[in-house]
Amino acid sequence: MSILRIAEDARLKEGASRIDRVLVRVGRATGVMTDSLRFSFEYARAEFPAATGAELLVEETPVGGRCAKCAASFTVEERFVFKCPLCGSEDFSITSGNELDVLELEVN
Amino acid sequence: MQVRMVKKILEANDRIAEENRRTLKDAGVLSINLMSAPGAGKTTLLAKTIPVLAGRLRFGVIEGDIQGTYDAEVIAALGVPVIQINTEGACHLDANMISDILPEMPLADIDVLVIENVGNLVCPAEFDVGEEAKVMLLSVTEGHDKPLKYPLMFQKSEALILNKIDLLPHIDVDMEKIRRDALALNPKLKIFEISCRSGEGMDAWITWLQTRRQGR
Repeated sequence: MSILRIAEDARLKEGASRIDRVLVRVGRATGVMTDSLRFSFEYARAEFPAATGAELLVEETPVGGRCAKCAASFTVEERFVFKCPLCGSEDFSITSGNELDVLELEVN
Repeated sequence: MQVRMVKKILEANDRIAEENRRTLKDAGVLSINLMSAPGAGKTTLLAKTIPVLAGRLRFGVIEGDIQGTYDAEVIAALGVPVIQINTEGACHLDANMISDILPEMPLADIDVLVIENVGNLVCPAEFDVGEEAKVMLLSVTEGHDKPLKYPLMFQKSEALILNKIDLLPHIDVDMEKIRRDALALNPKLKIFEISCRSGEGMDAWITWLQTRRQGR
């Protein structure tokens, strides 16, 4: 619903009549399941007449971090990081993977 | 036409959460989002903590449940202001629900506001309600695999309370593993081992709560 509300606000601002495509960025650490998101999106579209034909594109971003000990930047396949994959240190910060953003719209 | 933006999907919730946080801070209230699985002992913890601090800290409680007023009745019996939110199916509290009822809370008469979230180890950790600190409760009977299975709540909490330690002689739970995994996820996590039933370990938790309130 929030995605479509953001899209609807942008459509009105641009004076467009329909929303054709919505690109969202989903970090893997958010725990958001892309399939479930798509499923909900398809149902929520019914609440927004200008978006009934809108397509949802999802760009997944991996979980990444920077190690405080060996100074390396890394990305991992998993949804969570427990230690630096290079040196094994537990002193690191997460730099990506928590995104949950609308990035781009196609309105006409 | 293409429109480019970077707009946070949860921005509406985050914005309301910030407003809640400012309201609570301006009122001088320490707000705690108390989270756990169902049955870990959130309400019992409050029922055992609030009377001990009577005359020292004034509490207010927001109870989040899918339905019913059982928890609110337990807290109301202690004579502290309590508001029950029924989420009618939703598995967590969000910032808007708190914002709606905050005006009904007598914030001027409260030092610590505890927001007892819906029993669930997953979603409550994902939604900022505008609290100052997240505190997680895990009962030892839930097992030592929980930090690695539900990492987000351990990562986001300031304190982890391990409840029901009076049952340790009867169960096969590896307390050291819980501590090790929880600290690997969150090295700054403060861990307390308590039994609401026997009262064991309650002192350290109560001292922490008082210090947390004072050190603001």
